[in-house]
Amino acid sequence: MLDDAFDFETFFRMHYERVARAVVRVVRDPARAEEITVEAFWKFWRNSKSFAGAFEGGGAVGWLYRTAVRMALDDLRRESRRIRHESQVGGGQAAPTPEEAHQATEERDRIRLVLASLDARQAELLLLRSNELSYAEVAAALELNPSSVGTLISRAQQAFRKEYVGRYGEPNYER
Amino acid sequence: MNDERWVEERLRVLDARDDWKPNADAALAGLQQRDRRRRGWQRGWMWSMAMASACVVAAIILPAPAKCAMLGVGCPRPSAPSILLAPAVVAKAPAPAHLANYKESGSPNAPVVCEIYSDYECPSCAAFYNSVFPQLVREYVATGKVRVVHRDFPLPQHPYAKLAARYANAAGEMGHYEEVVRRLFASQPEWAANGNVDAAVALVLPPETMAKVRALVDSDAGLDATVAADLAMVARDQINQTPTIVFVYKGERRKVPGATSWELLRSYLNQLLAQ
Repeated sequence: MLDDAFDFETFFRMHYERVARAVVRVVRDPARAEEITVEAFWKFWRNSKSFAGAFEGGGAVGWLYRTAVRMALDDLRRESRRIRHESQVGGGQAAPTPEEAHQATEERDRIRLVLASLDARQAELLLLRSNELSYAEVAAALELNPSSVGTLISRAQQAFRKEYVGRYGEPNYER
Repeated sequence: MNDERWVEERLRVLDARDDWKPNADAALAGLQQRDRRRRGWQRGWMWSMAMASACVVAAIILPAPAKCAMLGVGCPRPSAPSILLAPAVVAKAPAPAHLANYKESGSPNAPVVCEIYSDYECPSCAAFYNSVFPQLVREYVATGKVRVVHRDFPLPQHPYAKLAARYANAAGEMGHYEEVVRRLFASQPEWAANGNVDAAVALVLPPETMAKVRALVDSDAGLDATVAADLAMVARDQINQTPTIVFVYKGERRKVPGATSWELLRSYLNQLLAQ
């Protein structure tokens, strides 16, 4: 349990930027990323009473990253659905300009769309791992058996690549 | 290209621009404001409920207002933990405990002091000392930005931790503290398995120094004084696990419990030093 002497402010300052940077990779808008990050810290604070032995094995930190990344993915999926819906019904919006059409196909958007289409657990695995969390930290965050994390990450990578290449083909490395 | 590298390259494209700086101050202020609102609402709700209950009880059996206090009405209830009340600082005063000089390294004028509470038999401490500590020394201690203070916190569940601390402190008296600390953490799995701390330390000290260290370990009661001083600080800083770092900066002591990665430690130190 986080005891009364738990220094929330120090914990916040140590992790805020890194968590926000993890979130902004998923949601495009930096302001939205900060909103989500603050929300994750708020949840962390509200749930802090239930963190028995919170810092053993980085449990609290893992919980925070997992929550933030999960919220960001939820936001990304909602956004992807909204865009899809608007494009289907017209939404009364003007046709995209060539510049917008170009931006929509940018690499970042492609990657985010692929992440949104993956199984939620696989997307979380990829994002946590790519934010430099160790296998042990990823296992703690997602409550997985540490010995199987490597295999699960490897499967998630295969699924990501397959989905990406299926949609867009191999990326152009000469760009 | 294998899947791992391929995916890493794709995901790296998502990295935020280097010049993007999340506003931690504004976010924390917003969070604190929200916490204040929540607590205000909770107090209001509790007050309403208490008043309603009191009125019912008072109307039935205890009409005298003087009895309210006995019912708990209007008396302050134990506070829920609060972001605002959770102490951001452990203490204002600088560390008063006696400290043997060999436990300190770095410039006395360094703006930040890292007091590291550790137990020689704690695996997380070993991981910290083996991987993070050398980088801390290279980038911050050697450059005069940080002074490091070692504090012993031998935990009761570790049967050889105290003995290891005695060896390290005896070596400190002989001017060989750093190399023995390094050796103890690096070889922890071996000596923790059989309690042969002596053999681990003997590998890094000249024979004549080792003989003096053994003599001190065997008979010098003063060695325990430095551990006792550190344990007094354990109580004062309310340390409940190892490793824990207490950052001393501008007279404030801020503790960060648990093993800290190098990236986080560097990021936090840079924030402090930029203030």
